[in-house]
This record gives sequence, C-alpha cells and structure tokens, in this order.
Amino acid sequence: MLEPLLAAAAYLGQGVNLAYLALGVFVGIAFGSIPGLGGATAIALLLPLTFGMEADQAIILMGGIMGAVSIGGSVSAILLNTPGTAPNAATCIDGYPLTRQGKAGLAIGAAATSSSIGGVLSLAILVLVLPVAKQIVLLFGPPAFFMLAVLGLTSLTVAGRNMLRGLVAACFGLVVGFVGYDDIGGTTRYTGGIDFLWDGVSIVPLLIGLFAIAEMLNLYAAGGPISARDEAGEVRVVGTGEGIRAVFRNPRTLVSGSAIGTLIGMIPGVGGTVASFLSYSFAAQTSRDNENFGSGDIRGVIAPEAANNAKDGGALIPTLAFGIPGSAEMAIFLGVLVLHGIDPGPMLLIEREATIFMLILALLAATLISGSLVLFTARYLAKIAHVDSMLLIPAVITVSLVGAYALHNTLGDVVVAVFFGVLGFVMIRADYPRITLVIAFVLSGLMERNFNLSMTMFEGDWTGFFTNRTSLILFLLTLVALAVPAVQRLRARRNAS
Amino acid sequence: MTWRQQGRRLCRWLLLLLPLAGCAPGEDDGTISFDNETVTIVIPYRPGGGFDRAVRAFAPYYARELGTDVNILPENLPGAGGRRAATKVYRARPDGTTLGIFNLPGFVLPEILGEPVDYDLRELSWIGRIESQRYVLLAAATSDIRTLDDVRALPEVTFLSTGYGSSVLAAMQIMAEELGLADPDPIYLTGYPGTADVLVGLVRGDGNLSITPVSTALKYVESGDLRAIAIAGGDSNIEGVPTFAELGYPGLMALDVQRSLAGPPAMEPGLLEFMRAAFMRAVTDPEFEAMAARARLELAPLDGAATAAAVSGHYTFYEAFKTNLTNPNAR
Amino acid sequence: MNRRWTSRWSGPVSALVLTFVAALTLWTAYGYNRLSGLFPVFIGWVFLALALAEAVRELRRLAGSERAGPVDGAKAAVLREVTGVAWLSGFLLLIWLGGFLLATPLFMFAFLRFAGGRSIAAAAAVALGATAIVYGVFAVLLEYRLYAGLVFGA
Repeated sequence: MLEPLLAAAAYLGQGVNLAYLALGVFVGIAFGSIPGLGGATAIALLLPLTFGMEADQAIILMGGIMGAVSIGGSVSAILLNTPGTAPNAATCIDGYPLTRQGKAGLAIGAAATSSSIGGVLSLAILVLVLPVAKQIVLLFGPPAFFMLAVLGLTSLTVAGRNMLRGLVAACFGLVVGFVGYDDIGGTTRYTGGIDFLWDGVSIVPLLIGLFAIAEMLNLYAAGGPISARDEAGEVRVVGTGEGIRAVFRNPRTLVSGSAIGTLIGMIPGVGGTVASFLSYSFAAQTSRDNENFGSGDIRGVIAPEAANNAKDGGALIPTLAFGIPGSAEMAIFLGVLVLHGIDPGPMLLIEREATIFMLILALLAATLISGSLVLFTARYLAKIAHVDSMLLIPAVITVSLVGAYALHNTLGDVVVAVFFGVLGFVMIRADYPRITLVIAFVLSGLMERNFNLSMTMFEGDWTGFFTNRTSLILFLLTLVALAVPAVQRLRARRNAS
Repeated sequence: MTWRQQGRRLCRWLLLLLPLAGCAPGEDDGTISFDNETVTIVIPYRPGGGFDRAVRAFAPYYARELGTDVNILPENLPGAGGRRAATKVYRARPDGTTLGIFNLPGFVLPEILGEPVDYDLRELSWIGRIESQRYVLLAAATSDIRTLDDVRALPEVTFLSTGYGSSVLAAMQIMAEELGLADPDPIYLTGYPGTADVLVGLVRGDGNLSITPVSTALKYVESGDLRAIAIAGGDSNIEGVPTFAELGYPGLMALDVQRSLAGPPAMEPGLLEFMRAAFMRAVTDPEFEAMAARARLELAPLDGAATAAAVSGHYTFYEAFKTNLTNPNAR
Repeated sequence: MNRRWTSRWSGPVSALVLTFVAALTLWTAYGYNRLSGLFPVFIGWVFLALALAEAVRELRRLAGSERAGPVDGAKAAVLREVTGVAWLSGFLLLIWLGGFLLATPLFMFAFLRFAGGRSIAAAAAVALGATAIVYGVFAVLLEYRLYAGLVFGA
C-alpha cells in the first residue's frame, strides 16, 4: 500500500501537476462561494480542458475542485446566511448567528479547520474501509434507504425548538418534493399546469430563496449591518486562532461529524446535504449544555463542516466501486473518469489502486490548501459582515438571482428563488423552522422512490420493513432519536430535585 | 480539442477577454458557417449516464468539423422521462444551434401508447446515430439461473428496471411476452434512478432478473457479480454467452438502445446536409474512435437519412407490442 | 437586535393556511393513479393531522391572550416588510421585461438612491460596477447566455 502512495505523492509534486491542483482549488473556492454555481458546474466547465491531459492530471484538477468547494461555500453561509452549496446549509444555523454577534472570524476559523481535519479523517477511514466497501454498499436496499430517510427527518425535527412546527414544515417540504413528473407512476403531479415545473423544484434556487433572499428581506426590515459594532464603533474581528482552538477543544464533535459524513457519503444517493444536517443534529442532541445550538454555538459550525468534507471521501466508494455517484459533483466527475478511459465498477478498486491513491492525495492536498487559504484571509472576509446592509442587500439579491438563472438557463428558477425568498421571510417572521423544510425536500424523492420500490418488493405487505435487517436497525435508531429529548428532560428533572 | 484551442480557452478563462458574438450561423453569401458559434446539445438525463457520456465525448470532435472556434455546450435537462428535453428540441429554432440526443426506442413509446406528448420524433431533422447498445439479460452470479430455460421455468420473476418510459423497461416487457414465462404475472420493480443502481440491486438480490445495455453490464459480469444469460444482436461478444437468436428467439435480436442526434423539425435542407456531413466526418474520425474506445462507447454510426428511417422502423416494431407496453405499475 | 415582530394573528393565520394547503394536497393526491398517489396520500394525511393540531393550539393560545394590548410600532414594521417584498418583486419584473443586464443597474441604482439614500453619483457608480461584474463573470468568463428580457430578447 505504501509504494503506490509514495509514487502518487511524487507525481503530485511535479510542477505542472501542482499548478493544476492550484487551479482546481482556486476555481473550487470561487464556485463554492457563489450560490447557484457549485462544484458540479465547476467540473463540467473545466471538463473540456482535461481532454488534452493525462488521466491522472485530470484527476488532480478535479480533486482540487472537489476538495475546495465546500470551504468556499461555508464562508458565504457564515457571513451572509447564504449556503454556497447545498451541504453548507447546515452551517448557516449557528454560523450566521455567530457573525451577527461579531464572531465571524471565530466561525470561519472553526469551519476551515474542522473541514480540513474532517477531510483528512474521512480519507483515513476510507483507506481502512476500502476492503469491505462493497459489502457496506450492498447492505442498503430500498427498505433501508427509506428508513434512513425517516431517521434523518426524525432526528432533525427532534433537535429543533418547536417540534410540531418542525414536523409541519417537513410535511410541506415533502409536498414541494412531489412537484414534477413521477417516472414510477408516469404522471405529473402538483405542477398546476406549468410546464416548467415538470422537472420539479431544484434545490439550488430553493436554498437561495429560503436562506439568501429571505435573510436580505429580513435585514431590510431590521436595518443596520449584519454584525453590530461595539460601543466604540470599532469593527471587531475575533481571531481565527480562537476558532482553530475551538475545534481542538471539541474533539468529540469533530470525530463524530467526520464519521457521520464518511458513512452517509458512502451510501449512494443520500448525499452531502443529509450528511451535514445529520451531523449537526447529532451534535445538537448529544452535546452537553446544548441550549445555545441555533443561536451561535461553535459546535454547530464544527459538526456540519467536519461532515461536509468527510462526505467526499465516503462518496468515492459508491462512485468508484459501482459507478453510482453519491452527489452531483461525483456524477460529473464520473463522466470525467470514463472519458479518460477509467471505467468505474467493481474491478476499479483492485485494478487501479494507483489512480485511487492519486485522487485521495489530490483531495487531501486541496482540502488543506483551501483551508489554510481561507484561514489566512478570514480576517478580511469577515469585514463583509460590517458592510452597510443597504449596499449588501441589492448586491446579494442580484448575485443570488443571476446564480439561480445560471443553474439551468431558465427564468423559472429565478421565480422559484423569489417565491421561496418570500416564503422564507414569512417563515422567519412566523417562527417556523426552514431547515426541516429543506431536508424533507431533499429526502422527498429518495423516500418516495424507495417506499414504492419496497412496497412493490414486499407485494404490498408493509411488515417487510421490519424483517429486513438493515431497515430494522435504522428503525430502532429512529425510536432512540425520538426518545432522546424525553430522556434528557427526565434527567434534568432528576438533577433538579 | 487541440492544444491551440485549449490554450485559447484557458486564456479566455484567465484574462477575461472579449465577449462572444452571439448571432445565428451566417448564411449571407450562401455558404454555411458555424465559426465562433455556440451549439447546445440537450441531454435528457443527469450528468454521468451513458447519454451524457456519449455527448461529452463526441462534442469536441463535432465542434471541430462544424467550423473554427465552435463551442458545443452539453445541457443536461433531465425530467419527465426525457420528455422535457425532447419538447425543448422540438420547439427550438431550426437554425442548427440547438440539437438533442435521443433515447430510441424509449422516446417512441409514449406516442405509441397514446400519451400526451408535445413532439413527433418522425418530424425531427435527424443528423445521425452515434451509438447502438445491445441488451443483455442478467441474473445474480449467486443465483441458480443459468439458462433461458431456467428463466422460463421460474415460479416468481421480479424484473429490476429504471422508470417507466425507458427503453430498458420496454425491452423487458417484450422479452417477457416473447419467452412465455411460467410466472403469469411478473413483478416489475421499476424506479431505480439509473442503470448502475439496477445492477447493484440485482447483485443485492432486490429481484432476480434484469436487462441492461451491454457496456455497463460487462464489468459486473467480468468481476463475477452478475451472470449473463443471453444477449441481443447477431453474434455474441461475451464469451460463452449465447444470443437470443441462437436460443431460438430471433424476435429478440433487435433489442437495443440507440443514441442519435437530431435537430428541430424543418431545418433548411442545405443546413441539415452540412450538419449531417460534419457528423459523419466527426464520428469516423480516428481520434474520436480512439476516445470512444476508451470511454466504452459502442459506436454504430449511421447517417442522417438512415437514422430517420430507423426511427420510423421503431414505430412499426413497437406498434406490434403495443398491448404489452403499458406501465405495469399504473393500474 | 433580534427585534422579532409577530402579531398574535400570525400564528393562527399561518396554521390555517397550512391546513388548507394540506387539505388541497390530499384532495389532489386522490386523483392520481395507484403508484403516483400512494405516497402523497400517506403524507397528505400526516400533514393534515399535524397542521390541524397546530391550528387548534394556535387558536387556543389566541383565545387565552384576548386581553393583551396591541404591539407598539406593528404597523410601521409591517409597512417596511411589505416594501422589502415590493423591491424584490419589482426587480423580478424588471428582469422579466428587460433582462439581467438592464435590470441589474436599474435596480441597484434605484435601491441605493431611494432605500439606501446614496448620492446619485455614488449610486450610479456602484450600479455600473455591479453590472460590469455580473457581465464579466457570468457572460464572459462562464459563457452563459444571460436572459435578455421579454422586450429585447424575443
């Protein structure tokens, strides 16, 4: 194992290859931070550039992008409550409140550090798990996928303050997910006769609306900059050093986030958004003194960010071993591999060990480089939060709407972004959680597809969900997640008396 | 893409050079030219699949044949079982800047079954066929299913497939009809998001049979996870696996999925001729052939006129199986 | 900072609206074929039950708080919220009519001038700068065909 690793490292160290890596990292950060662009767009755009390259060089370039995208996205999530990519949405929950408290530097420092370390940990886990990767992927059939989605939704709702409203928002999110053509039953649903909606609502304009635009409306209504100045009128940027230290003070959050990210990433089709939200809700539920989660707890930044980069490591397994991409980035990356004559499939892990190590190393290097780049510039980036909101609002709205358009070159997505912007604003005002809506929307298709597949498999007998071993285990975990708040309340009462 | 072009693209990237002029192909002096033009090829599926792969591999070679500095933009427009993409191409301006890749015979089916669609494939300006992938019948390597007779005798059959409207599902339904299965009411487990998901489901044991394009299936057969029972087409390219014809089912020989390019209806004859000629040059370019071999495309080039004829042929062929091809899960 | 304005009506009204949406979802779901309707019907019932529970809870709370006085400054706050949504809708309308490259400078300028209170020169400079960035990044660098608007594009 050591020999191909060293060979890969030597290859990566060559001048041209380092330049490709740097280009990838630069493009990754830039595309990650602008909502609507993201890693998949970056890879698709640079794809023609790779035709003249060696396969390994293409992998280095793509690895550079994939390793850097999520860090770019977390910066806009923290500073502007605008998740650059979908998986960064969980970072908004605590990252943005920290910015409002004038602690943007702390949050960015923690995010960059935990995502770098999360990436490293996940690659370590990946190398260990590689021999049994196939068995793990094969454990998850349709019933298990369905239960996994149930578990994800439940644990997230339980972590919120208002459980009933969280559940209502989740139901609404599921319904939004139904919109469009259903290729199992062969009908279009909930489109109201609008052709554009045949394709369903896309996640990117939905997120842009619910977070970026809603936040700008909220800011307009409230007035003043995002982050308050202190009495002396000084702009305070609490050191990023503090953020780095915060990560090391919470090793449990970091490790559990990385592990959740890697495992969820490994399960094809579930993707990074679920990974980071699950990691967040796990941290929010199981940490001590968790009453500050949602209003600026640094662990609420560490957990999703650790998972966010870790999921790339995990997602490599289904992508490489089965050709089933774990995320949109992976889907296009798969195309790049195939065009360079590397055919993903069961034999790849054995036949092209060197290629895989090259990719792992490129991801690792990209994660570390982009992490340190963001750390060094955090001090300046954080100043955005002090810009007068009357300047920031039109700028963010413009970029958001152009970004929404750029996704598919349709005005329909712009309308969707505006619709969810207003809806998100109403939800902020009426105190409904937006997070459960998003996650339910993300899981809607997966849940329904696997519910229907399972029911067809069981020939209509729903007890099949409890005879499938993986699905039964996930169901029991769901019950545990439901019981956690009750147990905590009980324990608190006992401590009080 | 040559090094020179690639360098030029990189320059545009890094230096923010002049914007592209966005006008229709110039035809002022009677000659057709796509120089500096952007041509969009609409792909009806998500990135990463077989159709996406075929377009992305082919695009640079086609661009080179269309003119100097032509930019071909693959656009993924998944949804509605491909109908969204087909409708978009059908309604586009017939100036050659919007083309689409089509799943045949899959996209023929909704029309034959009398479902509301906003296009007629026979009216499209067919430019040519890139690929034809034959289907192979598969079972898990751990199962007892070894021959077509085993398949016919199975008391319970569960087919795995992608959603309704795919060529795969239609091929399965036709095969079930032709073979005369012992199971009168096979289950069609439809709705897997892609072919790879179907194959993994088969390895996992979600069901017991599936049909997929041969290039995707081959690596699972080679790795020993799946067993190929029979293959469509004239002669077998997997060792030890007989064709349907050899086993006495010549009716199943034609089962395949084709990937063909077309533009909107009513393109100018001269323009169409130009694009067809460029297509044939690109698809037989040795450089492209080498690339296609690496990307495991099953090249089966066919010129525009022949492709159009093949499309009409699909209508006749599938019309005969009309009653077997309704959505098995919509009752 | 966290000046959260909520009328005592906002809870019950949103709960009732959601109940209506849930009922509509369920009613529509029964019109679909077996497989297309299976999951929406299931979720529709859960949605309806939860939304009703929320509505009942909110209406009870409303009945309990009958004697509470009106919230100070509520009217001004509502007005500001409506203006915010109006700015956004106006921008969308401009994009639809004139495309991004026309709507962006107009919206930026108007917003900075009338909502932000900047000078004409400053507002114009920022508006033009922002448009140049949008054009440079999306149209030139990324080669997107930016929507050109109903008036000029078609």
